[in-house]
Amino acid sequence: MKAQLRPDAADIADHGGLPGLTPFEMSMYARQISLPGLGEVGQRRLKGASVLVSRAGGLGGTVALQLAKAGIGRLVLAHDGVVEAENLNRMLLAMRADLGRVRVEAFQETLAMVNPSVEVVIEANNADSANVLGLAAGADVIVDAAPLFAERYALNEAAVALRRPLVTAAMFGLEGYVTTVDVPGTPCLACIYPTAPPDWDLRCFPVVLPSSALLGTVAAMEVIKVLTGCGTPLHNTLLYCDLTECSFRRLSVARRADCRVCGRNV
Amino acid sequence: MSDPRAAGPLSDEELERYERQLRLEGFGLGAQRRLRSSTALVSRVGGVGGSAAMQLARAGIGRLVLAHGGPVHREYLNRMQLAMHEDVGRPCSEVVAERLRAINPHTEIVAVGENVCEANVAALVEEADVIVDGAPLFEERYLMNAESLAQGKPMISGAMYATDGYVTTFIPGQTGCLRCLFADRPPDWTNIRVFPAIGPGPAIVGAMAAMEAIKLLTGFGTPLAGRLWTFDLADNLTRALRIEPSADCPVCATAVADHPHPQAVPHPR
Repeated sequence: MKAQLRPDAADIADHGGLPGLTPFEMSMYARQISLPGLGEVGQRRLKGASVLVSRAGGLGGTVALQLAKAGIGRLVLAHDGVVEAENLNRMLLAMRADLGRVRVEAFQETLAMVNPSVEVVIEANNADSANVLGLAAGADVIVDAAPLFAERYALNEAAVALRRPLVTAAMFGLEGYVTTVDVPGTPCLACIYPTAPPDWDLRCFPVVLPSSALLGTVAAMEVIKVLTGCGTPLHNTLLYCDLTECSFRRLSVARRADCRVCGRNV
Repeated sequence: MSDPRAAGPLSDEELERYERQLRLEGFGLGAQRRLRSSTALVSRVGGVGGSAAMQLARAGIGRLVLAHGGPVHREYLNRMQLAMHEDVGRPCSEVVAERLRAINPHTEIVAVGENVCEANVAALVEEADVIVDGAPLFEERYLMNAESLAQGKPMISGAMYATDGYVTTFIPGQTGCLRCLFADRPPDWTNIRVFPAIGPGPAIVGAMAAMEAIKLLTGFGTPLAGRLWTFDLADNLTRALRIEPSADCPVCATAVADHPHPQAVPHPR
């Protein structure tokens, strides 16, 4: 660690409550601790943080894997169902031997091998308006990697109610987008999509792995940025990509004064 | 493309496994079978190459040749997606081969326990339909570049530093080469043992490189031929820079003249 890359003493003092790093962790995370803006304090923030990832398939599984590798303290994964053959082309946390197993149990086992110091809490149901506040309790950031708008809206409403940042990602085929919601500084998902797009029925959406992995990776980095303060998150910006031609766009998104979810919280 | 597996239909398990990608418009059974009949050489299976190899195995490529020397070090764990905590000290190529087999037994994995070097580069490239260059050292990258031109095989190059990354695809006779882009090793590209890296950096480069390989092998979509895609995860700024062949490139200007490839088209002006 070069001296100039270390956070200043005042910053460390301000965050004295953060967990410390073991010598093993210092060597495991050496390369990212040297990342500008992250540092040892950023690493300790990751270790002290809890993230809810709703659906841990192609998108969310990538987020969970990256966060476990990066040294997050705690992950809460919500995803229903069992591992099916057609999941294996994109669900990074599922192996062939997991066919037929409860998805979140297989995911939890993979993450324990990836990084045994991460606490992984599992819920074998998708997020919905009834369970979402319980799932999000204690989460510092919520990740919406769910395909259906009912789930996505439930996660968005919980994030706004609990005043937690929400990283939201979605994809179809080789198209997808990511944005980071942090009301009142940004619009919420319901400002961007006041109603679910009528053609959005994603139970059988087409997908090839690199697109979900790429978007999930961007979403994971958003979580790391929000938690550590390094870099610039996608606030008020929706990053859209189409990998068919490798085209990327940054779309400005704005709050709606009359938003049914965040309008009253101005 | 003489692999006998190309001829047979997809098995029921394969049809089910690839169901979601078979639904992609413009992909379909033909593309899946082309992928299954293909081999990619992946040079280094760390952050970038390991991520690309994993995606290609999940997508159903027929065969992967993985070249990587040396064991998993503790500080690789934050970005080597297929290396688990317990793998520290084991050879990288073996670890990755074992994980890939657990992911997809339909992909044949050839683990080569050494990095690409002058002695092995010709034979390794000979095995492959496409080269995925995820090597951090320019010495290795230049060797593969020269061999890609000599054998007329496309090479996808991906690299990262801190939160920055780039990917481009070189097609002999159609685009410039790595030497056109970097005539000499960048002077600041020296000590690869200390560069800053966090998982998402190499993962995004590896994902894009894998997408490029899938495009080249199946004919699906538009590859980054003649375009350098750059990404900075710190602010999510992306660019696609047009890159031109260098008329006096010491490597490809000569190689293409000496070994014209059937598909070769004149360099764009």
